[in-house]
Amino acid sequence: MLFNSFNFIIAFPLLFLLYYAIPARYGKCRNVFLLVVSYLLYMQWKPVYALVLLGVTLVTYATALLLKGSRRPKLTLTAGVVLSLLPLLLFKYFNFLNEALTGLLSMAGLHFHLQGLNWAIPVGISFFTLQALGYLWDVYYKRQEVERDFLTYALFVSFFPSIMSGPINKASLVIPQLKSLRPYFDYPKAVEGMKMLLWGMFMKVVVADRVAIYVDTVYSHYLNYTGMTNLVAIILHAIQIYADFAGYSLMALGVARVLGFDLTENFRRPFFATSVADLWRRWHISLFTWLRDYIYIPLGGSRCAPWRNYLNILITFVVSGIWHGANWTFVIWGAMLGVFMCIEKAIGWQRCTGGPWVRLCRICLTFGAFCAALVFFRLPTVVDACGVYSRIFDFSLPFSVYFDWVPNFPFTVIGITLLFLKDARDEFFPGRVPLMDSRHAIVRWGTYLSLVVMILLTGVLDSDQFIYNQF
Amino acid sequence: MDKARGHKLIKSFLARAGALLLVLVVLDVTLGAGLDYVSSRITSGEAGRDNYISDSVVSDVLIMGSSKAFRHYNAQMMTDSLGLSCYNCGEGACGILLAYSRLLMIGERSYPSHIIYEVTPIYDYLIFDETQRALGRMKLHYGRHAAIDSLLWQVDATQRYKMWSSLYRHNSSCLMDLITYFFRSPEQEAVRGFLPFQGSFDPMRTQHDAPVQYDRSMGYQYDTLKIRYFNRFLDLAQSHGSKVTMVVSPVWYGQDTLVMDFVKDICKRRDIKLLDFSNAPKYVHHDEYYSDGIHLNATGADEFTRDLIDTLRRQGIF
Repeated sequence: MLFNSFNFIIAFPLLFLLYYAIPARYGKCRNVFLLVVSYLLYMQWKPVYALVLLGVTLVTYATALLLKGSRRPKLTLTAGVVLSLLPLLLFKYFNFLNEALTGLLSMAGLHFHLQGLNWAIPVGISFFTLQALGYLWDVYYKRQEVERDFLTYALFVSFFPSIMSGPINKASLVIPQLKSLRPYFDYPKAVEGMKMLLWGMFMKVVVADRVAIYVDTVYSHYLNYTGMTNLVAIILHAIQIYADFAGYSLMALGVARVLGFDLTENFRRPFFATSVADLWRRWHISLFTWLRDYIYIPLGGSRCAPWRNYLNILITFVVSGIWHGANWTFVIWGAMLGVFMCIEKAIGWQRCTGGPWVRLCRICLTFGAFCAALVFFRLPTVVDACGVYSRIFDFSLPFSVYFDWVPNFPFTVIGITLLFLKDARDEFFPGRVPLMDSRHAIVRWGTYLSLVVMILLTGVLDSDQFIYNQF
Repeated sequence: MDKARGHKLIKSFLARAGALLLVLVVLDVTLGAGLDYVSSRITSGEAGRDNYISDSVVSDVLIMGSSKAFRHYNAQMMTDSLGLSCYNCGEGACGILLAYSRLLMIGERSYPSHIIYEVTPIYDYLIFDETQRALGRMKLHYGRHAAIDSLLWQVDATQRYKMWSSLYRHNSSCLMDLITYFFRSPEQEAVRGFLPFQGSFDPMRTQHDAPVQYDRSMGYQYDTLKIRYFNRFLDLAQSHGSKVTMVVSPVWYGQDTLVMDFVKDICKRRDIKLLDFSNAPKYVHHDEYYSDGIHLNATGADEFTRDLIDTLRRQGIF
């Protein structure tokens, strides 16, 4: 159930009341309630796929227990990791690997055909699998105690605010919160959570879904539009995906916070990053923390020869690309970002020195590089992505830009401007002009009401899509 | 934290949330009433045309259907040639659902003697994701007719509850409505509901707008809701004595005839005339008549209307 869906808006107050109807001293009952709700919400889509979730939970739980007394921990870990990854490989990558292998063998003159699978991918499989694997590795590296209570562990893997689209939480952050006796009701946290829900909803339905109309129109027939229109679509796509994913993540964090939990922050104003390295400290933070801790550092990180470090960076980013989707476009997207990062490191651009103008130039450059790579992220094939690039350099009508004037254009401009102003304030003037955090109730309430009215009047309320849901 | 303090805090939270909700309801009702007033008094542009169709149109002949109806049928030419008043009620990216609701609203005044329905398979009986656009138009007329309300609910069950919000009914249309109300619409005005596409043929656009949805190798997926309303539309028209003629206007590509089997069958069963111009050699691949692969331009629309009038007379329909 998506947080921006009508059903969730109806269901959430009910969940809230039922959750807080359970006295705080029965913390375990509260956890049982959350586990049941998490599984029920998960089963709304395809009930049978809850077995995949349960399977990954059982395998990682048992492997962690076995690791404790294992004489050959590496073997136990490998077996656990392979078993946990099996559903992900089968559902998400089987067809891709099958096609790649068939193509490779046919080039060598060996022709065989293995039937592809036509199964839907279980929602959130990439997120909960990575979260469970992170726990397993933390236990192996002795950074995390083995969790013996299955209920707590199962809730950690399936916790409904984050199961569909992250953030990919660390066990060290969530499990202690699940085990501790939480206060009956944390008022400031609940208010903070509601604010996050409101702003996240604004980002998602007012900005992302509105911008999506333009981006989808242009990208679906990019050859019909001028180079300048394609360029505008590329920039707007970056804004769309940011508002979509950051907005949805914020809603997930908000829902958890209303229930008294703190989850990992996933976005920190990424478009004000001054380098690609800086961008990845601000964009999908939980995934890139995971990749850093369990891929990049085990490969040797930066404490090795420069060429090896560059290779480690490239591998990490290609893995990130593959995680996003079983398609060569995602592999190229990841590789492009890896190459950008290596170049940046080689020329010593990772630290930003210089005045505000230098900073502004670097922000623009970083944003441009990110937008350029995102073309591969968005288009379905490598040929289409190359087609968009070539279309940009068509200067036959250099100043002709397609605008969907009414109603999308003004709503898009209003939404993006408000998002930019909010992010710029948080980045450069934190604590200044507090609207939702104002000391004056009238300002706070005025802001809440204005946002709700804007959502009702300008939001795309009938869209049931979320980009990162598909990963 | 002791239990009593916890209870006090949650009560305070719920009380404030309730107060905020109450203020929001007041705001929703007052702003919604203001927007209702504005939108119902617009006389120009798209919204003005929509208001005119739902509140004022009384005509002997109505043209209904998608953008192909709206852009291809010169209602003034038909009025002059047939000697009957004719009005074009077609609407872009909308099909049978909007046509049904419009016929209900027009029928509150009087039913036409004749309806010319432009058949567009994706909007009239095939599965295609355009229903939300049709809903957008109908939302503004919510509460006017029980059959329109229930139609909205059948497209999306949650609409019944969403419609409690007056502001939601003006979602996406509010800004244009305000601009049109205060400054009039900058768009060219339709004449008797007809507004042709201006400009010449764009071959690149045409090539990439190829009608893949009619690819018979993929099989046709029929939409049961649209089919139900297709039949209800015909029942409503025929029970009030309106004679229906189904027409398919020209398409640059021509059109797969298999996709029309559904309509042919209905026409046969209900004794309705079907005039199919989609593969007429005069029009197929004749660039001078088109704006793109789907739509005729002003020249093509006039030429097609003349041909249609001739055919209607020859077949004794008028």
